[in-house]
This record gives sequence, structure tokens and C-alpha cells, in this order.
Amino acid sequence: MLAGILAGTAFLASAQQPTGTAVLPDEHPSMSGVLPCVRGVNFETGKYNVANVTVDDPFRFLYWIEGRANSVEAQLRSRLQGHPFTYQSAGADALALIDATRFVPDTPGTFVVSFEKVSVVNCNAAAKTLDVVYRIYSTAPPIAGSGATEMQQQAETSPQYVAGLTKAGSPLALVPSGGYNPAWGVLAGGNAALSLPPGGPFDTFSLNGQASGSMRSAAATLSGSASPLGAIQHWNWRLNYGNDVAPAGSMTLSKADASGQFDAQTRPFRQGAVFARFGAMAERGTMQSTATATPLPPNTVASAAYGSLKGFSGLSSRTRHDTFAASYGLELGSIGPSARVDWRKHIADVVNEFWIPLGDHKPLEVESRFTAGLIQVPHSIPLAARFFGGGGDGYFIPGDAWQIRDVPVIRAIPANRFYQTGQGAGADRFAAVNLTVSYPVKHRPIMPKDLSADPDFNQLMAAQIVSAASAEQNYYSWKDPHFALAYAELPKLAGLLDTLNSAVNAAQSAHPGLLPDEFTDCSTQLFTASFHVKAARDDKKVARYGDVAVLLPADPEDDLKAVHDSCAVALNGQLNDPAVTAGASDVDAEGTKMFGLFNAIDQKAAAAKAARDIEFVQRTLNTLFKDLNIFSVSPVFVFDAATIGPLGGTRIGPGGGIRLELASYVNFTLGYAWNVNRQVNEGSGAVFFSIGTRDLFH
Amino acid sequence: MGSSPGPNPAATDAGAATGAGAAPAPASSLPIALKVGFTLNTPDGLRQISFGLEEDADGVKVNWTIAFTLFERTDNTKPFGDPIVSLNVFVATTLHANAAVAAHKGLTPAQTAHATGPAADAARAANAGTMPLPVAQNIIQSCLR
Repeated sequence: MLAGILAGTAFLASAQQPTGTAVLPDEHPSMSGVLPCVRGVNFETGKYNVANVTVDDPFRFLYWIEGRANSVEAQLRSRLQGHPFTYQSAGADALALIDATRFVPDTPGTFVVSFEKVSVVNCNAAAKTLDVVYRIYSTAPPIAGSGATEMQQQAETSPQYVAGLTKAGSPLALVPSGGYNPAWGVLAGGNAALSLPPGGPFDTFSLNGQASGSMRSAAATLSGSASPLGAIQHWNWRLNYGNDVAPAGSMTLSKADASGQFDAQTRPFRQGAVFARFGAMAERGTMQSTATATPLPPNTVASAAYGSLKGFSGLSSRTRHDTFAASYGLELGSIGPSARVDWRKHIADVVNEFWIPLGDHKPLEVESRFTAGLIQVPHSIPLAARFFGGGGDGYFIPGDAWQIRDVPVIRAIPANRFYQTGQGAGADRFAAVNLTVSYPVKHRPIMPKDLSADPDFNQLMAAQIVSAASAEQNYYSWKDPHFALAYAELPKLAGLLDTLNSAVNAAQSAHPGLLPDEFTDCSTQLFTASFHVKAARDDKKVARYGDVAVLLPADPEDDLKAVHDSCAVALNGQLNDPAVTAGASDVDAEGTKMFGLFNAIDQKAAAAKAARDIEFVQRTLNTLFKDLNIFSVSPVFVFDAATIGPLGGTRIGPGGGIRLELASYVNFTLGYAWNVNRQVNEGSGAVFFSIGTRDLFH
Repeated sequence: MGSSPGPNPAATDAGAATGAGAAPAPASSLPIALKVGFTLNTPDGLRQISFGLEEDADGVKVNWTIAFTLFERTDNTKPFGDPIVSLNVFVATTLHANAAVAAHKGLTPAQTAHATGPAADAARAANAGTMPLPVAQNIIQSCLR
């Protein structure tokens, strides 16, 4: 039998028939200025030479992808350009080189899907030349967080994050940022993040800061994360230090604090459309103000050391063209004895973004946000803990992964200038609605249109996502208690296989020269089954699942059936050895028992869990393929309405501007919003401007 | 982006063939090879299994190949380096239809389990010399059965 396998496999390896089942996409339509290449022509026997080689990767705008693509392109040109065309060198050999270049980082716990296509173009029958084009697409989409509104915003400015192409190249990331606010002047700063070696509790150390002539904000963070598969799909934890100083009218507010926090994200539910998040944070620091001439509301102190506990939770969802998140946060603050709650702050934040494709890669984007806050003060509260609104943003917890806005934003008023209430400076309640509508008038898709619109490409990529879901399903099947029961039978099965093997060896010794092929087949199947039993007992976690399955009818190999067929039927059917009969019978019985346990695994539940895990990934990739642009210019319409209390009034601020996004390089929004019902000491409106730039090391 | 093929005056001849009643214009771009792949990084970061399906066409024949690569490392702070095993397994003609289905529809859970378990083990055993290479190739190819 072993000889048969060897011969058969050798045949399989060499036998190539003239026709086969093909999935190669159809040719692209004729392109102007490019000679056609005719199907059915063998360019190798036709003695064509390679005139030019091109490597095309949609993420070539990233430094490290560009570097590797250039390297591969140079090597392929060296190998192919000016040389006779062969299918082996231009096809399989070149693809092996591309694979070895590793265009995707090795991030533990992730999966990578890849698509590589080799085409010939510009086939000049007269000159006997052609060009070879390599189109590469690889992605390692993060499973956790894919449904969050924050992820969608990140996808628009830095699409490489949702493609999983960030953690490669330099461990240091440096992203400059800037902006302008009439209250603060021109701002400049940035974020520096250093990836820490794996194995420790934290994976990133980052420094973040911005400053202008009148404000400064600095933060240092140690952060870590984990993405276990299970009811909780993702954990984040952080240690933060922050120091902020900012003007608020004639005052200056400052805050210095140290905090520790965690948050978690559940596995999606409700048909994979929704997931929940929750977390907590402990903070200690000081809040100060220069409020000397400004009346303070009751129970408010200008400066104090404080401590606070925060709890927060929320729901997020993502559908094909919509992301939604609703969050609630509660802060219990104290400036007195630590056991006393001096103030309670409640925050509700609802954010929605939907985009309607009005043409290829031209989505009408509508971002809307409703935020409300309420402070209850049973004892006293520092002034800086109250609500100060305007064109500056502020969040309930540090970090980008979950942003819960906790200030009334109205872009028509400079930052921190919307705070006067009937009781003095700083509101104890607010509600704000913010609307931003944009539509690209100039754009260039990230994914070339001929690729993103290619049904074959879409189907092939979707198939790889199915493979990822299958791997996830196996993980959940491996976690099923019935698998553990089946797995626990392996030592017994190993012993029974050994016993049978001994019986077969003894029988062969007793009958030298008899039934040589049957003895070989039986021994080979016993070796294979024992090999898989041993492999399954090695410590390799989820891969054990396949090693147990291959012993049983769950896998086409069905090792134990092969043992039965070769030993009990083919061999012992003629030999009738009692020890072999007994040994084979024991193996059969054990196999039946194991298969019963294996079959009890709830595959339906495992499949449902896997589908939910992957659902957001598919939607995110759809957005990447069909909606996102590497470059776009969009007019922007904004509308804000905000009210603060008690008796602070309502402000309404319509406006407009322009947004430029050059994915991963720079993005900025510049506009002006009018304060249509301005009050005394308020301007007629305000310029709003923000800018983000690419990571300088990636 | 890399350089693109430049315009060629002769291309207008091809374009002239398109018109009412004319045969469809020949394609500008003709695929000769396609590879789709699925790579799994284990949660501990110590093992990476890559399973690729490659279709090659030379204008007449179509070949399917399984590209199976296994990387292992003992320290997940260091690069994987060269693969422990890198095997290209020609797919038997009788399994070409299955290969096409796997490429177009994705691997089933059973196929994925086989790829990450027995196929990886066989590849490693073949590399270590404890299993004949053709036997390992046969086990790997069983992913498509």
C-alpha cells in the first residue's frame, strides 16, 4: 500500500491533463494604447521576450509596502526583463518570490487572506515581446473592533489599519498633527508610539502632545490588549498620565492626572450586527483654575486634588453602510475623604455615520452625534470638572479605541468659550447635536476599479474569508466539552493501536512471506493512525482538533477506518489470526466511541459563533474595496446645536468648508461656522481647522 | 506605483476590430497565474500555517498546485525566518474541480482542520525525514478531498 501511495502520488505530481477546471478571471476589456494578448497563444513556445515587469499593490503608498514592492519588482525585472518568457519563471517562480517577501506582518492570532494575479499585457506579435503585470493584494483584517464607529473613521484616514498592515517596519510610529482654533491659535504636536516586545503586559508605549501659545496637552500611555475568542472578544488596558492646560475665556483650566483603565468588547450578537463594550477607570490628580474674578456656581471650588471612578458601557453596530454607537458613562468624583462621593457626572453619547454611494467610490457621508451630560453635586466639585463647550473636543476616557465625547461641541464658538450659565462659569448639564455632511467631488479609489469591480476577485476574496470563518469554527469546536471527552480517549486508543500493531507483527513473524502487501498496508495504516494520535497529544492547542478528526469519519482520511479495512478485512480476512481479530475489534470499538463523542460537538453553535466573529470583517473589507478613496476632496456642510444649563441658553451654528483626505498622508478639514444666535461677548462665528498627517516611519 | 506599459500605436489596430458585427476585441490583459491564500497565525505567535491554491495556465493547459508553508519559532519576539517546510503539491486532475471550488467558495471547517492539523504535521514529519515526502504530499492533498 505504501508503494502504491508513493507511485500514485508521483503520478499525481506529474500527471497534467490538457484541460482542467479553471477559475482564472476573464480578461479585462481592451485598454487604449495597449496591445491585446490573445488567449490560446502559448507565449513560451512562441518565443516571446519579456519587455517590462510591473508590481501593483494598492497599499504601495505605505513606506514599507513600497520598499518591499520595489525590491520584488527589481528582482523580477532582473530575472525576467529582456529574457525569454516562460510560464514557470513568470508564474510559479515569481509568485514564490512574492510570497517569500511577506507583505503582511506576523501578528499573533490573526489570519491573512491574499490574492496574487499574474497577467501578460502588451503582447507584440511582431516584436515578440510582452509585459508581465503582478497584482498583489494581502490583508490581515483585525477581528475585534471592526464594527466600531472609531474603526470606520480610522479607515477613512488610515485604511492600512483596517487592512492589518500597520505592525511592520519600524517599531516606532510618529504621527505629527496640528490644527487651529480661535481660542488657542495654531496648534502643533503629534503622537509617538513605540511597539514593545511581545510577552509583557503592555504592547505599546506612546507619548502624545499638542501645544499652542495658550494651551498645552501632554499624555504618556502604556497600553496592552488581548483578543481571545470567546464571549469577550477583545480586552484593552492602559496606564495613563495626562497634563492639560487650556484657556477658558479669561480663565485658565488645568488638570494633571494618573489613571488606570480597562475596557472589553463582547462577541457580536443579534445576527452578528451588534456588540457591547464596557469598562472602568480609576483616576487621581489635581484640577486647577485661575477663576479669581469669575463667579463660580454653588458647591464649586477653583482648585482641588481629586480622585474618581468611572464606569462606562455601550452598544455598537455596523451594517453595510452604517456604523452606530451609543455609550453611557458615570463618574463618581471626590475631593474629600476618598469614600465620599462629592459629585456624579453622567454622560450619554450617541454617534452614527452612514454613507450612501452616489457613484463609484463617491459616498455621501453623514456623520451625526448627540451628546448629553448631567452633573449632580451633593458636596463639591472642581471648576474644571464642569462642562465647558465650544469648538474643542473632549472625551470621557483617554484613548482612540473608544471615544465617548463629554463636552458640548459647537464649532461656531471657539473652544471652552461656551460655559456661562445662570449660576456662573461651567455648566452642570448640556445637550448637543452635531451634523457633518460631505461628498467627494474629486477622488481616487484605494482599490483600482478594475479590481474592486471584478466579480472574480470579489468572489475569491470572499472565499478566503470563508476559510477564515472555518478556522474560527474549528476553534469553537475545539472548545466544545465533547471534543475534550473525545480527546481524553487518545491514550487508550494509542494503547489499542500498539496492541494491534504487536499482534500484526507477531502474526507476520509467525507466517514469513505470507501476504506481504496486506501486511505492509496494515502496518502503514497503523503507522499513520499512531502518527496522528501522537501529533494530537502534542501541545499545540486548536490544531489538535484536526488531528483527532483525521482519525474519524469526520475527515476523508478516516485513519481508523483505513486500519479496519487494511488490517481487519484485507489482511485478517485471509489470515484469521485471533489476536489481530481481537485487537482490530478493540480499535473499532474505541473509534466508534470517540466518533460518538466527536459527533456530539455542537457544530451549529460553533458555526454561528464563527460567522458572528467574521461578519464585521467582511463588512469592513467591503467598505475598503468599494467605498474608500486614497485621495478625495469634499465640500463639507456642518450644523451644530448646543444648549447648556442652568440658564446658559442654546446656540445654533451652521457652516461649511472643505475636507481633503490623502489616505495615510494627510487629512484636513477647514471651514467656518456661524453663531446665528450669538450672545453678548460672543463672536459671529469661528473658523474650524484640523489636520492629521501620516506616520513618518511607516 | 510601478511603471505602466506605455502606449503603442499598433494598439489602434486591435481597437478597430470592435464594431457592429465585429468579433469581440481581444483582451488587453491575459491572466496566466492566480494564487489565493489563507494564512493562520496561532494565538501564541509561534506557528504560522499558510495554505495557498495556485492556478497556472499557459494558454492551453491548466494546472493547480497547493502551496503549503509552515513557519515555527520558539520566541515570538523574533522573525519567523525561513519556513520549516515549504511544499508545492501538484493537485491531481481528479481534484481540479475540488480545487476550483475551494478557491471560489473557501475551505470548509473539515478542510481547514486537515490543513492546520494533519497536513502541517505531515509536512513537518517529511521535513524531519520521519515520513516519506510523497506520503506527506498525499496527506496535504487530502485537504481537497
